[in-house]
Amino acid sequence: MPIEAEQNIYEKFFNLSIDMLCVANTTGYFQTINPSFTQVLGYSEEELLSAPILDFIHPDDVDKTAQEFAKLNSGHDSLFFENRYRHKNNHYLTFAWNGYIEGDSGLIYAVARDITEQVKVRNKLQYLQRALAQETIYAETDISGVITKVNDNFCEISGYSKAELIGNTHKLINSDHHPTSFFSEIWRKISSGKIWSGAIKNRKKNGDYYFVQSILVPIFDNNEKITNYIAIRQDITDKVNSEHDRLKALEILSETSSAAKVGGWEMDVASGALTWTNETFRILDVEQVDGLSPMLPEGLQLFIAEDQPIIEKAIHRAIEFGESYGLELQARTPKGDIKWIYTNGKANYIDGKIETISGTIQDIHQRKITEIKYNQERQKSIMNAKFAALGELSASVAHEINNPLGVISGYAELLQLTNTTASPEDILAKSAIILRSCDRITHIVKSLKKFSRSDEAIQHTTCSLKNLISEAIVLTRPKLKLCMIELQCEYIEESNILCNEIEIEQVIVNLINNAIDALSELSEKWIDILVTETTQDYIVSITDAGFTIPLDKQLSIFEPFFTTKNTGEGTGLGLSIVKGILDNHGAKIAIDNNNKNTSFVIHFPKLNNKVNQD
Amino acid sequence: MPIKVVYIDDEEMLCQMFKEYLHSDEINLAVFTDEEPGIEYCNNNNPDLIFIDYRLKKQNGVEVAKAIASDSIKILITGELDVTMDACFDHKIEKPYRLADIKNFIIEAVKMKALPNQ
Repeated sequence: MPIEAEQNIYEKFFNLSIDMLCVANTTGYFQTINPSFTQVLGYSEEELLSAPILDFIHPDDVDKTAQEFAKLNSGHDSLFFENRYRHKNNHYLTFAWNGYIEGDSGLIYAVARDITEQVKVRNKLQYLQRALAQETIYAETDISGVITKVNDNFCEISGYSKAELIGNTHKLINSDHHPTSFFSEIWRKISSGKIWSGAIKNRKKNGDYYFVQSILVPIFDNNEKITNYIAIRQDITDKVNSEHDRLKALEILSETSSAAKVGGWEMDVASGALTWTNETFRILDVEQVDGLSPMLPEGLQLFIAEDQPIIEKAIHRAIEFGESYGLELQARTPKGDIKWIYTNGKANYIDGKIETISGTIQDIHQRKITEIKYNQERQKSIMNAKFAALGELSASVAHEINNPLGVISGYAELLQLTNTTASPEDILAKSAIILRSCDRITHIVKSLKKFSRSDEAIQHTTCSLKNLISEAIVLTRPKLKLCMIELQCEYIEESNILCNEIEIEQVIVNLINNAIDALSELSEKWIDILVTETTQDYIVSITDAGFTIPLDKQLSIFEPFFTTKNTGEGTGLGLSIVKGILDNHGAKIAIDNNNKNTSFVIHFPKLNNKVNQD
Repeated sequence: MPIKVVYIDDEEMLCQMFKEYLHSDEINLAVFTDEEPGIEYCNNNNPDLIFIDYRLKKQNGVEVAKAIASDSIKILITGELDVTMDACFDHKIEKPYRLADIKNFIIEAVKMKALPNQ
């Protein structure tokens, strides 16, 4: 081969090499570099040749590099070291150097290889190994399971020394808790090249138990053959114990909840996944499938169509604004049964963000059904009592109508009789009397009509207590008169309250009626109605000549069907309904025990107060 | 001799009307809105006919009728729906009544009264 051709070959290798080839002179400059240098470091050849080599080297490595150069100058003919070079983009690459010095010229011929990636991997491995050794219970075994290496943590937790452990198998710390099949399964898995992880209960030298979460890893050689195993373990004894306690507590809680028919639930806001307690499944009659948790849409489907928007909105507001809720709703179980339930929910924050919504669910079916029935019955009772009172009134009201009717009829007859002789003044006077009597009848009929009306949804309106009381007196006056009872009344002119006027009139009529009945056997016959006021309330007291009600009866008089009247004389619903109506108005009724006579005192909140409260 | 008639009713208007309609030479009418003077008058004057309203100011019609010792014809006037007539009354007239009917009733009573005299 001619020399030129030979040179040509080396030049080609020089240009092709992925390793970096260079010649450096004794002044510390590159003299020749191959293209790989510019590719790896990003500088142009001119840049690399025009600056001292040390300029490109990591400041921390400058001394080391200078020393290596010095070694070459002092007679060593070759060098082998690593240092870091600055890339044009200002990051550093690690190079492994191999070079020798040519004695005569003093030129240094060197080869560098970019080992940056290798160094990274090497470092990572070192850190991992250090972390494992420091932070875990670490052991290595040979292929047959004989311990070849343990760290201090292993010794500390097991109570055995390194000498005692190495050369032994893990049978030394077997707790006999796990069946043989447990370990043969582990061996089957790791010897087939897979990683096994799980919790193992072990025994210390002193006989105490400890729990470890273990990862067992088979290690292969370059022929894919298992050479040994490493075991990485974490002490979970505390966790296991607290988990044990937690499960026990959960079990107790679950039993308690079951007895109280209270279920619990939690929803993960991000996923909509619901977690239910056993009792929740039971209440909603949903079959519990292991590993399957219901999702929000399915949960919502469990309510009847009318209630779905209500619960949906409540949950939405809980998620959006953190508002808590409590609702009585009807659920439709998968079997199709309708069931009343109470459910509440509240938002749970983690780091200021709503992560979950949780709450309880309660079976209130029996209570609710009873309540609904009770309300229906109560409504019926109110109606019955009203009609009973109306019946009692009608007889005496008839008298009140018949009197003016008699006047009308009589004066009409007089006008007929005197049709030719009567003076215009006479006719006017008589017809005025007729009209006045008509007004009297109209008035009483109106009161009756109002009293007997049974519209269900009557709005509360502003009414004058004075008017309500006078109308109640119009209705009861005939009866009062019949029983020769003297009624006195003192009003406050301005006494507006917010109420259902028909109901409040019914209350006053009822109380007057009761007073009339109470007076039937007494010689003294009077009723006083007095309206007074405090800053908060208007107070209506209705007092009759009867003696005060004995304390032991004061509680029961407001109960339904309590009556002192003879059979057939009263329904016994009057006062219970009076109290019911007043409760609905935020008014209070009580018996004034300071009065020697029977005195019922009602406190009506004043209109302004009520508005403010609302 | 005019027939003596008494009307006791606490309703002033009815008393006035009664008087205006029935007052004549044949009828000597006295009306009372209070029961006591009515009872006193009747016991002193022994009228032929006494109309007594059931519902009065202090007493009811039955009590008033019993308080009158005379053998007058006593008629109960009532606007109540369910007042049973006491034996001390001879007749019962329900309110609202027609004054014409009352007048006829009085005329009939006079005839009845006249018969034994003949």
